[in-house]
Order: sequence, then C-alpha cells, then structure tokens
Amino acid sequence: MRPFQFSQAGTINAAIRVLQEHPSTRLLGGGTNLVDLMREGIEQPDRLVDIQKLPLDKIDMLPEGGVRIGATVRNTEIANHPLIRKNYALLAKALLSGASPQVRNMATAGGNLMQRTRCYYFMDPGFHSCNKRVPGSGCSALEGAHRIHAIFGGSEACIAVHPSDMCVALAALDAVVQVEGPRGHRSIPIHDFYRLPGNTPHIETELVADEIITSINLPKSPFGDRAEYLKVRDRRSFAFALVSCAAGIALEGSVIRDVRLVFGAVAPKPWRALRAERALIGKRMSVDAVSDAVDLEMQTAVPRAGNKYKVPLLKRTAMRALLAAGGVA
Amino acid sequence: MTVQPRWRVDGIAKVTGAAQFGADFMLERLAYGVPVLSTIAKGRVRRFDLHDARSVRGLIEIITPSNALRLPNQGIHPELKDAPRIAMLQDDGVYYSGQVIGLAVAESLEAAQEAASLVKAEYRSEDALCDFEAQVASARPPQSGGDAAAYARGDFAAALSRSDVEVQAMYSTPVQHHNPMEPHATIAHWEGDRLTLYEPSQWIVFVRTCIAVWFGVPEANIRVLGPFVGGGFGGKGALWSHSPLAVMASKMLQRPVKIALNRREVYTVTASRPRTQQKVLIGATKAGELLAIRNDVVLQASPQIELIEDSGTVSHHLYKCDANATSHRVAILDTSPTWVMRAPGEATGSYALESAVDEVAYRVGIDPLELRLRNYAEKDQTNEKPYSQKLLRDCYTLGAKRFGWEHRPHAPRSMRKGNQWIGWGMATATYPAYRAASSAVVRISPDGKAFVGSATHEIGTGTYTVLAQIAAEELGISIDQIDVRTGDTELPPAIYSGGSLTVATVGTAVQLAAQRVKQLVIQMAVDDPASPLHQSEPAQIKVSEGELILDRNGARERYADILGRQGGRTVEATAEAKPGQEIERYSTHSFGAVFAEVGVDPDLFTVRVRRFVGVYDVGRVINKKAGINQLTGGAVWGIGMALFEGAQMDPRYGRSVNMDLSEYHLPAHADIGEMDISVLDVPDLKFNPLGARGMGEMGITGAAAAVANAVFHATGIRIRDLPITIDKLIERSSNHSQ
Ligand SMILES: Cc1cc2nc3c(=O)[nH]c(=O)nc-3n(C[C@H](O)[C@H](O)[C@H](O)COP(=O)(O)OP(=O)(O)OC[C@H]3O[C@@H](n4cnc5c(N)ncnc54)[C@H](O)[C@@H]3O)c2cc1C
Ligand code: SF4
Repeated sequence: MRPFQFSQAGTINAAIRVLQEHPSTRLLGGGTNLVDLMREGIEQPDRLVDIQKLPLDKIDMLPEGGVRIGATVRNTEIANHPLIRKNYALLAKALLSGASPQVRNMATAGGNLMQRTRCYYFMDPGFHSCNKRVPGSGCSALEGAHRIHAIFGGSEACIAVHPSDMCVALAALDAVVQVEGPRGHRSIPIHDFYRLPGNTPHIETELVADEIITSINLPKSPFGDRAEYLKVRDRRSFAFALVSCAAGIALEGSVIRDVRLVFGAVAPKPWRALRAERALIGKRMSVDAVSDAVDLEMQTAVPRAGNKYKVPLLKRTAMRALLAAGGVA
Repeated sequence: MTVQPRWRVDGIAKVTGAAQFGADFMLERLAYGVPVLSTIAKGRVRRFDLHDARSVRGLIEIITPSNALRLPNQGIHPELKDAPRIAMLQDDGVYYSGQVIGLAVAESLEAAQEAASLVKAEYRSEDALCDFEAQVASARPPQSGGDAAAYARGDFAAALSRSDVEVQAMYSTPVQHHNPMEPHATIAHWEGDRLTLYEPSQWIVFVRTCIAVWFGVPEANIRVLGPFVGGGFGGKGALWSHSPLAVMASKMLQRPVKIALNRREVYTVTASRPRTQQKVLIGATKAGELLAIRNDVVLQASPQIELIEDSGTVSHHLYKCDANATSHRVAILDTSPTWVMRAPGEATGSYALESAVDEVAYRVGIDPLELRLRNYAEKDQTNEKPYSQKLLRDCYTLGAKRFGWEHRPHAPRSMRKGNQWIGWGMATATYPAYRAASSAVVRISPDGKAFVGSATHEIGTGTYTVLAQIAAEELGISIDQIDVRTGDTELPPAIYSGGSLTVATVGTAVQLAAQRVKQLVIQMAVDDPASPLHQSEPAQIKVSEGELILDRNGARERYADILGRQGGRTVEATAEAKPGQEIERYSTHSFGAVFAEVGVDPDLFTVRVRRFVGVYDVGRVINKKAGINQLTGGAVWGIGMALFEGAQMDPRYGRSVNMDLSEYHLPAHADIGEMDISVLDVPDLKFNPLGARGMGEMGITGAAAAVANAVFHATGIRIRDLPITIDKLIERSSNHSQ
C-alpha cells in the first residue's frame, strides 16, 4: 500500500476544500471497497478524508412524503430502518441480499453508489490490459473471462457491470443523488448519475472530483408493496449478482398504470428497461403481457460468448419479479 | 475410548488467541518480506528497475537474482525427489505468472508492500502454454511411470463386447486452491549458524531436510517450529518459495525475517489441485453387472513438478469388476505448480466414477443403490486380498434408511416440493487407510503429570486432543494432567500430517510409548519394598485416575508417590510405530455411503443442497466430536466442489481470474442444509492396535458425485464439468426444451 495522508472531516465544506486543493484525494466511507482497492494498488490516492463523522448519518422524512438517506448511513441501518421497511421494502430487500452482515455494517450509502466494478481484470493488476484501470491499455474481458459481464450498455472499450444491489432498487424508486461541491448543490437523478463507458470507461459517474454525495432522496413510492427485488447468484449468500431485477408496479384494477423495471449486474449501471416499461403501461397484468414486454427489452441485449446465459436467466428473473410485484405469482 | 473430552484441549488457547500460529511470533528486530511476483507466464526478467522501490522509507533490501545468496543445492536433489522445484531467485527465469521473482524486505509490512509494488520488471517473454484443453492432445505419461501411468486387469475388449450397455462420458474438474483459513507464513531467524524456522507446516521434518539441503547446513543446526497450523489440506505438505527466501533474507540481513503471504499470493506462490479430465467407459449387463471399467485421465502438471493426482485408481477396487484399466497422462502447462489436496485422487476420481455408475443405473433402469449392491466387492481385486474390515454394506443400508432412499422414484424430474424440483443422488465414499513410521515420547514427571511429544502437527484436526486421549487411556491419567507438544523438530520425528494417517500412525506411537512408560513405573513399584504393590504380578496391575491398582485386592498407589520415592526422577519412553504385517495380509480402506437431496429452481436453475446424509466406516473413532467435524467439513467441501468451486484460468495470461475469496466461491452457511453425518465406529483391529483408520480425507470423497447425481435426478440434466453452475444448467436446459 502506498503511504497517504489521512484526515477526518468535521464539516462538509472542509471535506470539499481538501478535494479541491488536492486532486488525488479519496473520501473514505466504510472503506469496504476503497481499502481493498488501495491494498491491490488499484486506487492510489495521496490523501484520504474520512467522512464518517460528518452529520450525514440520518434517515429523515421529507416534507413531500419521501425520505432522505444521509450519505454515511450504514447499509445495515438503511435496511432495518422503520421508514424504509414500511415504505420502501424493495430497498431493504435489495440491501439485505448484498454482501454479508459484517460488510453491510460498515458500508455507507454513498460508498455503495460509488463502488467499483468487480471485473476480474480490473481487480488484479497482474493483468496487463484494463481500460478502466489503465486507460488505453485495452480490455481483457472482451475475449477473456466475461461470465459476469454486461449484456447492455457496454462498449468495445469496457463491458464491466456496476455490481451494486442497492442501486438497482434505488433506480426503481427514482432516487435522486444529492451532491455538494465548490460550485454549490446539485440534484442528479440516479438514472443520469452513471455514465456508460464509451471510450472512457475510467469515468464512471457524473460526480466531479471535488464533489461529495450528501444524501440520496427518495420520492414517495407509488408502488408500496407492489415491488420485488430478485437476485440470482452463484451461491446463496455473500456473492455478487449474476443478474438481478427490481420491479415496481402501480395497478388500477388489473391495469398497469405505472411500472419500473430495472436490471442489475448486466450493465455498467442499474439498467432501466424502458422499452419493457413502456410496453406494459396500460396493459392488463398477465403472464403474456409481462413476457412480451421483457422480450422487447431483451432484444436489445448484446451478449458475448461467455455470458449468453444471462439473456434467458435475466428474462426469467425479470418475469418473476414483475409477476410477484403485480401479485400474479 | 472411555475418555471423550467435551472440548479440544487447545480450544481455549485458540479462541483466546493464546495459540501462536505461524505469523504470530514476535521477534526482536523482525523485518518483513513481501514477494515480487511475475506477471508474464514464461520468459526471463531482462532488467529490474529498482529506482522507485529503493526510495521507500524503511526499506532494508530488495533481493533479486542478481544479489540473492547463491545456494549450494537448489532445485531437484536426490533427497528431495518428492519436493516441487520452486523459485529461489537463483536465476532470472520466469516459469509461470505469479512466480516469485524478487523480495522486498523492510522495517514494516507496509513499507515492504510498497517497495514490492514499485519494483518494475522488464521481461523477455516467450510463448507459454497455458490452455489445458489445447494441451490435452499432447499429454504424455508421467515420468514417474508405475501403476499410476497405466494399469490393466482382465481382458477389457472381451468384457466390453459381452456388455449390453456401454456408458462413455468425459468428466472434468477444475483447478482448486487449498484455502486453509491460515495463509502460509514463515519466520526465519539465524543466530550464528543456527536457524530457527517458524513454519506452519504439515511436515516439519521434511521442511528441515529441504532447508538443510538447499542451504548446505547440517539438519542439527535447524529447528522448525509450528505448534499450531491453521489448516493445510495438503498445501502445507511441501515448502514453497517464501520459506527458503525468508531463510535467505534472514541470513543476508542478519536479522529475523517474516514473510506472510496474502490470499492471492498463496494461490500462485504455493500450489493447487490440478485440473482433471477423465474419460470413463463402463460396460455392463442389462442386469446391472459391471463387466468393464476404464478411466483415462489427463491431469494438469507443470515443469516444477508432475505430481500425479491418481484419479483413476479408485476405480480399480471400488466395485467387483474383472476387467479394469486406467491410464494417467499429464498436460504440462506454464502455470503454477500442482500439488496434493485433500483426498488426492479419490476426490476427483470418485466424482467421475460415481457419476458414471449413476449413468449406468439410468441406462439399465436399476436403482443406483441397488446397482452398487449388485457389484459389491468382497475383496480387493487389485491384489486379491481381503479387506482388513469393510462394512460398506452397513453404510449403504444405514445411510439409505436415514435418508429415506426407499421412497425415491427412479425417473428424473419426478419429484417436486413447492416450486422446486427435488433430486436425490447418492455415491460411495472411499479412501485408503495408511500407516507410516513415526515416533513419540511419553514422560511421567514426579508430580504425576504426563508429557506427550512428537514432531507431528496440529493442523486443525484435533491432534492435541486425540493424542492426549490416547495417552490418557493408556496411562490412566486424566486428560487435563497431560501436556501434548507437537510442531517442533526437537521432538521425536514423525511423518507428514496427510493421507489421514496421523491418528493411525502417531497415535499408535503414543500408545506404544505410553505402554512402555507405564511398564517402567509398574516395575518400579513392584521392585520397591515401600510400595503397596511390592512384588505384585505386573500384568495384574491396572491404571486409573492417576493410580496403579492391583486387580486382586485393590491395593493401589499414585504415580506421583511411586516416582517421589525415586528421588523425583522423570520416567520416559520413546517408541516408533511402523506399518505392520497388515499391509501384506489385507487391503486397507475406509468406506462410506453418501446421499444428497437438492432443490433446483426450474426457471433460474439455482441449486441448493437441502439435506446430506453420510454414514462412514473408518474403524474406531477416537474422538467423536473432532471426527464428525472432519467428515462434515469434508462433505461440505465436496458440496462446494460440485456446485461452486474452481479457479478460472485465462490462458492468454496463464493467470486465473478469480484469485480471491470473493470470486473463488466456497460454500457459505446458507448453501448448506441439514448435515447428518455418522460413523459406524467399529474398531478395525486387523489394521492397527488402535483399530482406527483415520478419516481426514474421507468426507470429500463421493460427496461431489452424490450432489451431481442429485442434480441430474432433479433436472434430467447431467453436467459433467464441475462446478455445476447456473450458466451451464441454463444453457443445457435451453438446448433441451425451453
Ligand atoms: C466481500 C464483499 C462482498 C460484497 N458483496 C456485495 C453484494 O453482494 N452486493 C453489493 O451490492 N455490494 C457488495 N459488496 C460491495 C459493498 O456494497 C461496497 O463495498 C460498499 O457498499 C462500499 O461502501 P463503503 O462505505 O465501504 O465505501 P468505501 O469503500 O469507503 O468507498 C467506495 C468509494 O466511494 C467513494 N465515496 C464514499 N462515500 C462517498 C461520498 N459520500 N461522496 C462521494 N464519494 C464517496 C469513496 O471515495 C470510494 O471511491 C461487497 C463487498 C465486499 C468486500
Ligand atoms: S471490462 Fe472494463 S473493467 Fe473489465 S477489463 Fe475490460 S476495461 Fe477493464
């Protein structure tokens, strides 16, 4: 590990000032991702600013009925919070399907949003080519091991996925990421927060180097209990998703008034299945309608030799999540 | 065994941190070494750029081939023919990716890590062969030759032509890493010309030999200490680069040096179970009689060592079958070395054989258990010898009963529970029972306490407890009055802790030594006019609760009192145990029957082992708790082998892509359902005086096949390439129907 300066930020502004003055600074949340990456030399910041003492550790009701999750609230606390359990069970379920209790006890909301991919070639500097780790070095996964890689949104430069479970649920709940920086405050809808890799896979989000995430705001959910998070993985716990799916449905009688369908672990970001959503709105909830709609989305998938299985697996996962959310299964 | 302690004698020490494992020893002026590993698969290091690395504060030295101590004897040496050839910085060659090419030594671990990461190597690359599948065609017989290379019995072609059905199938198993909880670590400390090496090892005596040969020093100058080993599974049965390099660095720098590998380093600096590809051919009659069994095995190997995982051997004797043939060939790859891992041969071989037997059962329409009973081997056909004890039939019967096997419909996809397909599969477990030569010393001190010592090892299996129990029973001294020491080459020498032979071998040595000490004390009492036992018949004196007791009239005296009158002298005896005549007379194997129930999601193809029943005959079980724990752990590993585990090699790099426990999947608790593991516990006194055959490896054998067979029964899909993961199942299912 490279030596680095360590400090603890007492105020948000203090943290921002360090980010501004020292470009090679990283914010330290729970450290469950960052410290691992530093150990492997993948992240080599000169400075770490610990933000765990900032007053961002609360979950509050918002006046319009939504909720604000502070950036340093631990994953465990979010999952167990009465407000979340009651109004956003989808989010609690997604969180509890991730990592292990020990990791969740440390991991923060902001850190979870910003966690990096688990692409094998990214995680091990012993592999020469990885555009995300060393821009311009090539992508080892394209013709290599890519069983866990993207079938949506990838590019010829990178097909890594965003591995988070939490963020898939956040996307289905139309979360808005609140950001603070030297130029003031920004609200970035989660659907716009992540960038697709294109030719610059090392730039992953809209967050600029001197900005800090302060909270994640959730509007009042129109779905309530009509929501489901389903995660498929190689073992029953403590494994990242092969595919996952968050679905929320608002029904009028049996007619679908509104729907969110978001795929996880299949794209560089939580992948909102807009085509499927559009096809479903106004339809009667039925197995056929759901199947047709998911097929529409799956037509745009670009699998590779080693991850073709994700297409049928995701389709079945999505159908099951939608049907469960719609109360059919 | 009368004495069954509730806990391990070293349990408290382990949970409180008092037990010192390899990396735990703190020495004054300790320096820390971190290896620099190659990132190409084959070639030479043309040049090192050490500029940045040298600027690290706290750095002491960077050792590369250009300044490394020249060793008088490196590489293959007649005394070390079983040792893998490992990198010791004696040349600039790179033989695989992840090989040690340098060592940074610093005042702190962090500084050593930083310096190691800043070492830049410029390579001259050569073409490397790292693609197992591509090399299978050019696989050749191993240099070791022998039975492992080729074995044949009976007229195979004739037997096959008489068969009504033929099952031919190719099974493959991936590279597996040992993954003991404690990664490898070494501390080397030279004081003048004497070396102390702290080495968590499964074979400290061999460690001493290797270092003595490599460094050209007398064995007497080397002491190896490894009182606690956090698991080994075979991976700590040899020495890997970090150990001689710690010795070298300590010698060069004149201070103690510690090298503790991290998980990723363990994966390439040490070794792994080889990939296997097994082509099995079985001919059978309609009635299910097995007429011919063949297994042609290709194994991964490396230029460092060609060790044979003799996967085919298990098919030589597991069933009655007159025509049997196996071959083993090696595909040499430029990858990190392969080495023995828990149940080498049987773990992979029983998977292939027991899957193929299941396939035969489906071809002839006979229940898989019934088919096995019809082909029950009453003797070992490889040598026509009877088994010292074979109670496999009882294991089958009892296991089937505990599992409820009689309720099993034969057809695949015929059982459901809720929205799950349910499948039941079974297999036979087997592992040879070995003994070797080992010795132990037992002492009784004037306070009536006993000491037991042997240069064997506590690798997490419960050696301390079991040896204490054996001594306790023999001496009639309670377990808490017995101090057991292992893991020190100053103690009487012992064989490696592997092959499940520690209890049978070292246990027997302890038993013999304890008997001798007891006889000495009895004789003292008998000779001593002051003793109530004076002039008694020694054979009539029994021991219990620290006392010698005369059967006839209950006259008794305590050990402490007898020894007290002898001027406070300690009485001691050393004994060596060796394999006896049992190997000439008998074939010695353990057996078991394992049954698995899986639930499979019919759309998503997630698999879960809901129940697992294993009933084993391993002879006498000295410590039930530790024994069942070993078998359960083995079976859990077998479940993992079936469903999760395996290194994924990227042949372009010669490097596996999942080199950490986040992506190299072992079972989590949630993956394991109800485990019902039991033993018959019938002493096998034809095998050794203890009647115990050992059990460390048994658990993993058969387990993977039972799970794979259950997956077939649930789904109708037979995946012959472990692990059985969702992607493989779903791809096969879409080829089927959906
Ligand atoms: C073994 C293991 C298994 C896991 N399994 C899963 C799983 O199944 N599913 C899953 O979803 N996740 C999984 N994870 C990932 C885990 O969710 C993340 O590591 C965790 O959420 C990161 O949060 P943290 O607070 O520890 O982040 P840190 O490691 O502290 O930081 C991560 C990144 O976020 C940045 N950051 C942190 N806070 C802020 C902020 N407020 N503003 C701007 N940037 C910030 C940091 O600078 C850093 O770049 C696993 C992790 C491990 C180690
Ligand atoms: S997929 Fe992306 S992260 Fe993975 S190797 Fe390619 S560029 Fe690197």
